[in-house]
Amino acid sequence: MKELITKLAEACAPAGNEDNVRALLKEAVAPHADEVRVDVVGNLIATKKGTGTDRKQLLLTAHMDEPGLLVVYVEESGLLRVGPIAAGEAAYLVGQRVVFPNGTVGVVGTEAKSPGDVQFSNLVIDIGATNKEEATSRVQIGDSCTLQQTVAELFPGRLTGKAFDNRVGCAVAVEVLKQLGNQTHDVTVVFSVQQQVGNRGIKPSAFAVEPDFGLVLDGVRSGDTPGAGRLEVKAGAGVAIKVMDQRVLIPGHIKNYLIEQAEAAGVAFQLEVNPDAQSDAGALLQVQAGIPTGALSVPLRVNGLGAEVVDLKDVEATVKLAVAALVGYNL
Amino acid sequence: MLLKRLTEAMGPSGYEDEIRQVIYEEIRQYADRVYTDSMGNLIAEKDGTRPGPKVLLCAHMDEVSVMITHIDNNGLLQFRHIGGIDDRILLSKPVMIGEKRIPGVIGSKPPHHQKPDERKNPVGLSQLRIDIGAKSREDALKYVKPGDVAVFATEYEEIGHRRAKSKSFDDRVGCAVMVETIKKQFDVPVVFGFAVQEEIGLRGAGPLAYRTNPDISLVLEGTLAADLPGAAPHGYATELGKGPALSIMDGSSIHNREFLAHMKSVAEQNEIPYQIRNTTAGGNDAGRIHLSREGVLSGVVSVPTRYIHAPAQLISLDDYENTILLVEKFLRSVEQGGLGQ
Repeated sequence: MKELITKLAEACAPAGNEDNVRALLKEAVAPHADEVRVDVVGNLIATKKGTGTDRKQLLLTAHMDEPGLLVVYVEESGLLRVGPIAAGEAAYLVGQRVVFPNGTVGVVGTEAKSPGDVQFSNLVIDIGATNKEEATSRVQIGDSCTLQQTVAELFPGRLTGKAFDNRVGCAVAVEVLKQLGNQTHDVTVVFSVQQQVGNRGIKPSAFAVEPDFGLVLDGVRSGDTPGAGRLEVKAGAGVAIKVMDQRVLIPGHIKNYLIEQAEAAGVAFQLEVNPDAQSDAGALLQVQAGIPTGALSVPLRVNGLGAEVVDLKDVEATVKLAVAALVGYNL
Repeated sequence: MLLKRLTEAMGPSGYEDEIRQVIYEEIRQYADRVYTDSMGNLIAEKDGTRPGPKVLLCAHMDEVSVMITHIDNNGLLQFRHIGGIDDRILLSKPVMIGEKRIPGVIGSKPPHHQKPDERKNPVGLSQLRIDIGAKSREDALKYVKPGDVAVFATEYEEIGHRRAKSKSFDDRVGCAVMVETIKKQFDVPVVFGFAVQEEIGLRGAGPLAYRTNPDISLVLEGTLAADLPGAAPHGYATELGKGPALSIMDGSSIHNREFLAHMKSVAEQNEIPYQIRNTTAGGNDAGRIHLSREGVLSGVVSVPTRYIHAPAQLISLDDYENTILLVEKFLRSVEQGGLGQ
């Protein structure tokens, strides 16, 4: 799992251009799926057939995208002007290194005189081009980039990197698909696009799959760092079973089902009551006639931009519970 | 003149009756089927000679406007926005209210009655009233009632060099492009969707796309042009006279890269000038359409519009005509199997 997480997290996949991560995932799921396709908005959809005669459709989903910057203008000097793609605070980006899906690297600067004046409209990206013509030979208006950050192992079993939200969830989904095989029901894994900009990708894919049950895999910012806010989720304390977030209240019988499965399988778990974040679960519950949906989150310490920390024990717990919930599905 | 007829018609969001009728008269003879759905969207279908791919062209009929909320005892009218309007543009503007086009003027107390701190701030809605010349509440009630809607009283006019002004190029210019396009013949089925309620949250386009179930969609808009003193070139969004604008991202969509590349090549092959809409702000019906059902391959082409969401909006007629041309060439390219197949 460590290798897969590293490969996925180091790849560049801003919302709206998830090609690089999709290619890695396509390769990873191909040997373990009966059918793999990409839909019109870019979701990667992999299905593994069940063995039962009266089979339900179960959906497992993780989003591929991460925040980024979109090039809106190229100066005569070759510097790039950008707009945000779910990118939070502009000031935190100053001094960061960024990379485009084609491998072009740049550094973020600003024309603002003080940190308080930094806005996206006064950020500039320097890719080392000496003029506009040189710049546009590598980067076009409309192209987008993300942070460039390698993954490192801190204490054994604790990794740091960027985009663990939600490459960790993607890695979990791949591992779940790998471990399935004798389950009764059909399982479709959707690696979704554009979650960061409003849970967009999951809607058309779920409309197409028409699942009887949805299970969302995502990262959750843990509450065990200074200033993290009130959240009873700790890194290293197990998979987080979602109770609620900004856009969803998980139906009680589904939450309870996941708790029962965790207890039965001896998986360490905690409950996520999270009014400060959102996931694809909220969108999924409103597709078609409403898809019964639960969600599992991997706790992530967020120490700053590109400095997330994940405990591999939590990742393994998430895999174990997701497999148990899909294999034992009886709702 | 088509632009005059379309831009001078009334169509506040949710009250698109008049503009819908005007467009219906323009297009009825060219469509195989024309109907209105439960939201009020006007939908015209042309079958073509092949089963697909089915293309949805979409422009919204509604315009930013105001609604009367209360009538004061002195006969002045309180109101609120329908759609996004900057309060600073409202003062001293003539408006017309309701089907009978009752004329009014937006007024407020003069500057010498304002306290020093009030003068530093724009006059807000709470201080603005529409004056229809009524002597009292009873007098005013003979002409208007709470719930009536009003639009800016701006006539269409061609001014300067190939420029035109009106109250509602956003998005009657898109509607006009569609009216010109429906007169042409295409092999593929084309749905012309004139949407309601875009300005108050993209409400009409979702049901419209769901019902018509297209394979490909092109949204036609009038969009922000900020090529003006005080703005930096990287903040212009679009520039008047430089051609139709292709979208890369806004608040409702990150536009499909394949679609964008295709539109660029269509424009280049046909030597039609175009520009990239270089901002990530705004939003339009493509945000709803591209997520409809199992997803729709979608893009946006806009006519650059200065002073958008204000009483006198300005476009370049060259941009307008080039947009009509680009839309036709785009549909020809789909006929030839050029996108999403």
